[in-house]
Amino acid sequence: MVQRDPNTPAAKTPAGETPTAPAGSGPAGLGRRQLLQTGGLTIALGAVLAACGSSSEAGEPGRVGYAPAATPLPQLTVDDAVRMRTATSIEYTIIDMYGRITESGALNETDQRFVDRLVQDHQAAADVTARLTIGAGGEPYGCVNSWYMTRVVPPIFEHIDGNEAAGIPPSDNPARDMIAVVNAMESMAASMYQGMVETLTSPQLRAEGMAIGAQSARHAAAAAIRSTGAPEGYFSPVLTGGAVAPGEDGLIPLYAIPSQFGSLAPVQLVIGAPNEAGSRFTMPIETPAANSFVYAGETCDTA
Amino acid sequence: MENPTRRRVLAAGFAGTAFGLLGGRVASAGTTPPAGEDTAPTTAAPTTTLPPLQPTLEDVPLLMFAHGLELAARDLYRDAVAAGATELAPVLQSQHQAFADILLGILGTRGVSTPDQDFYEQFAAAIGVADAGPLAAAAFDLESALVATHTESLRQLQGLNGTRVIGSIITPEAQACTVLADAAGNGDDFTALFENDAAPLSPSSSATSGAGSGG
Repeated sequence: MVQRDPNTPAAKTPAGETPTAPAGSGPAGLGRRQLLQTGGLTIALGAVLAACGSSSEAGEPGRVGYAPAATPLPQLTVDDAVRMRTATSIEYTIIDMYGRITESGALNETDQRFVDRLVQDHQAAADVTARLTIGAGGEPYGCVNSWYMTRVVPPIFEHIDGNEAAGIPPSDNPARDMIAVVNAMESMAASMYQGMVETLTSPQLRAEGMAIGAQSARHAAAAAIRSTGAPEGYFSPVLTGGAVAPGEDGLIPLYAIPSQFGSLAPVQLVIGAPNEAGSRFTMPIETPAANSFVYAGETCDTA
Repeated sequence: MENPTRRRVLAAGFAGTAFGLLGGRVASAGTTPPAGEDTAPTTAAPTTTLPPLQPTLEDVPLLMFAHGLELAARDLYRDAVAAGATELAPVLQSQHQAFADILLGILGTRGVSTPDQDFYEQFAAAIGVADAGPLAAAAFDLESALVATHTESLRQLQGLNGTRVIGSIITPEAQACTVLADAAGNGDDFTALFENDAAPLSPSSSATSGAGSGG
């Protein structure tokens, strides 16, 4: 039995018995030498751990298992050049759509002349935005906008031409719907350029873009007058405190000045044959956003 | 089993402290990188400098000028209504009143209280008539001048609140140009419908003076 330091209280076992030290062991506690040895070992071990972990970034969570390393998403910058590239792509998208309208042969001679003029204006606008893209330090983009060509254009012409496989009947008045499409696309383009006065960093680009937008707004106004007639199609009733009511055909009349201020809201396009309930295909056409921007590095075959 | 003693407690605490100090560098969750670590980002970050929202000191005269023009346009259409014009002038009068109101909202107490006299006198005789055709032809020139002037101001405006308002005014004024071209009998003239040959007006040629608080 080893004598216990009288100043050290005896620890009790769970059974309340006084524990006994193994035979041959020294006095309870650590000697100075043992303390120094333990401390030295601790510091050495800590130094090894620190060296092993030196490549880790602070705050990065640890990884468990064999999952592949996460690939960070590319950082896409939306700058003035990207906005101008996107504007160019919208101009070419409109030109492409008007080309399909022209190929259909559905318009009368007067309306076809009107569309022909718009194509000229949009080609000129595309040339301007391409030049502005270069001025903003970007590479001009000379193609249609792939997002609009995939998500917006097909359903529009599907509801004008019809799609038997999808159970979509052709429009009851293709020429009327095509002028509505012109009004919608021109209104969207006007909104796009108007919105850019808030997002472009260069005041020069804001003015250049807004000049094109003002012309698109005039295109839209002319299309509305052709659709609704004059003077009925000049002013929306909302300008004088009234409400816009759909006509007997279920279509909302188009107006040259549809609102008191230029709107950035999506344009509601209503086209196609009426269904059994009398309603028609309705599609909101929005201005370009993150998913339809033409970012730097995106290329296309202009041939 | 050995009894815990004061020395053992001290030893365990020392060891734990040493671990904490040495391992802390690895396990740091702070947002500030340790000194000496390469803090340069791997990719160049885009600039975060944003244009101001409120009109700058340089913006105020431009917006005051625009406000004076809109007030003058409102008065010109008011004269047409007074002369008996009922088709176009009432709506256009209320339009320009709304444009002046929103510009005044941007300017606050710095808004001009009087219409631009030069602009008013330039069009007073032609627009203050009841006949829709001549009125539309004169109003076409008026609206074209406003569109050109506001568009030009975007080259100089810095505050985004001002550019936003000016942009939202240009669109309906451009649409009004097409309406007035059609009303003037030029509905088949694409040049009249879509092109704007008007020269922008400048504040230096304006009779607008002094800041006021009316509108």
